[in-house]
Amino acid sequence: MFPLGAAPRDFVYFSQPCVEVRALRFVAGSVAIPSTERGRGPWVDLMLDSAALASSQAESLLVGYEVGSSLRITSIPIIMPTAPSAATLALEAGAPRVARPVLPHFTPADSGRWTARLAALPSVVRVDRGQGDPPGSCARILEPGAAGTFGLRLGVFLATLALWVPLYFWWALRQDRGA
Amino acid sequence: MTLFFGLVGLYLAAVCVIGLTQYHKTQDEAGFLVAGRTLGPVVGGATLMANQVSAGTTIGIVGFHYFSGISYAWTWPLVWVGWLVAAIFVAPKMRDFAGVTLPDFFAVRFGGTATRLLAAISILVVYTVLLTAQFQAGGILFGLVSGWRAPEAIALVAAITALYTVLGGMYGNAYVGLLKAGLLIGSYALAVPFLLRHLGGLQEIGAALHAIDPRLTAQWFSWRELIVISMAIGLGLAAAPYEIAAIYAMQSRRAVRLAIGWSFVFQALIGVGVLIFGLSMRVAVPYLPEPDLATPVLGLSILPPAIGMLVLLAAVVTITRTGGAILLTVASAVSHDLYGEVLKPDSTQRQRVLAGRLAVVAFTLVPAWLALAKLDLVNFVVIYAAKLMVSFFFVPLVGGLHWKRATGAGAFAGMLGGAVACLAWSLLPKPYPLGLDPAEVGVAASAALFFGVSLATATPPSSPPMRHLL
Repeated sequence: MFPLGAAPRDFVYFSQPCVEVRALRFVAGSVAIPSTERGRGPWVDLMLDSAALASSQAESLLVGYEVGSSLRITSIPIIMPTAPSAATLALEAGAPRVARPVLPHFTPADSGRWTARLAALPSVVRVDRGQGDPPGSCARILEPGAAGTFGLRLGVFLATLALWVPLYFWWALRQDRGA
Repeated sequence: MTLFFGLVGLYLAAVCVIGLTQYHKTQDEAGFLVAGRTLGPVVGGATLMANQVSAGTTIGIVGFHYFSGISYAWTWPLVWVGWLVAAIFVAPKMRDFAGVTLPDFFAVRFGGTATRLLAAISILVVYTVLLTAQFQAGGILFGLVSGWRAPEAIALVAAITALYTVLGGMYGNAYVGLLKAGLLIGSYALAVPFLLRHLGGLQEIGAALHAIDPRLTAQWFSWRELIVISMAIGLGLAAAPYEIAAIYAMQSRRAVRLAIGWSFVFQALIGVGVLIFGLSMRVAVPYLPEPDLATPVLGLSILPPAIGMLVLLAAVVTITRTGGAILLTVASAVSHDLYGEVLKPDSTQRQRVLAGRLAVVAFTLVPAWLALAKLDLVNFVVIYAAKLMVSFFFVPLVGGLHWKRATGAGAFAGMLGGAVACLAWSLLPKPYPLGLDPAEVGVAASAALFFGVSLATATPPSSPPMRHLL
């Protein structure tokens, strides 16, 4: 449930490999708000129909969706507004069963129930269901260039650090030998 | 929260033990301010690193990576160019000079008290700004973890920082520096694999960042911006009063050179850690209210409790340890340069050490008050202090060490003119005229005045220690 008012009307979620988001619905008061989806790499933008939202005159917006996955350790995408939003998350062991949350850090409340107070919403809640396909059995297939030149830049940066240190020690020890 | 405060309590106890075990060695100035010149390469390297790696790194740079992506990482090797300048042109000669404070060098090299006074006063001003950044970061961290309001959180950080500086002096700073290196590297070694495993690995993080904004995986900051920031920090470090004090504290020239190498080892590991932290947090929590919250939220909410608390403790140690080095430098400027050399030259060693300890307490209060006003993002405050520092000290120090024709009037003009030019330029509306950064203008003005005024004034006869150095 998100308060409306000055809050942005756009939402986003971080899609996960082998995890299906379905039955997505936005409801303001009793009015179902249509939305359009647009993929942006692994992120999925959700743009709400502002006319329908305005006509609802509601003060809050309910976001509902189901997540399907066969993985034992599953990342559940969190559909969040595209602005800072503090939240309290609650996790319950139901069907499908959740054995324990992995990320973010949740505090056990009752038996089979956890809560987390967060300064901002996480993009995913990662849970261990205790059963299912093993970790590593499913990975996102990235298109070439999906990360831009990130890998190359990171590699050059790490290589620079890795070369600098021994070269410096080689120079420093030579100075002392000459002294 | 209980675990966090338990760990902070343990840290405080360790600091007190270090401080009390070293207290008997800090009854004279050489003991309190330069650790009796006993630091070896590894402890010395940890000390150099621990001075540099401040709240600007563990809170500020993580926040910078969070909002700007990978490009800011290049400031590490670029700042190391400044350390190379230190290793070649500054550190060996300063170790041979074996003073107690940086103003000592200016006073002996150029004669008289004017340059000493100016240098000491500038240390008080610039380091007040730098200490403000530490307290501001500490306030953010403690505030988020405990829910305390900013005044209480900042007061606690200031009290911890002042406590161990008063107790341990440079000995305490050196050994807490080693503790800081261990904590930072150990906690990052645990946290980074966890983040990579649960966020899908580096390529997945890269793809997510690239989709948010392609500049995050390429050049958010231009090379020119990175070079200007890095030169301000790196060359500023080469002439930084707290790093010069650490250089004085080492056993020999060899120890100094090797210590700089060890500081590279520590910095490389920490630099990779803060990079992964910032990038991972942008994917894990893409809409933080402000980038400086990346580390506190990472430690408090994203990582498993034990690892998260270690990361937060490492940040606390970083903030208070760098704050301690800054306070120690301020204390030395007050007790040694202002009180001991100018106001009361016949003071005893005990009186000077007492003056230093009182200065630590007094100069904790002003930055704590400024931190409440929250000047800017933490790393911007650190960068601004570095720009002032390099504009003030770099040219007169390196010129004074290597140019026989340099005069006291030239050094005085270079210091004052550089700082005033940097300050005045930074007050102009952005973008700056001619695309010049305040640090570039400050250093250029400092160099022009230093060389111009030196050539226009008579060269004084050099003192015996200077004949040996030059």
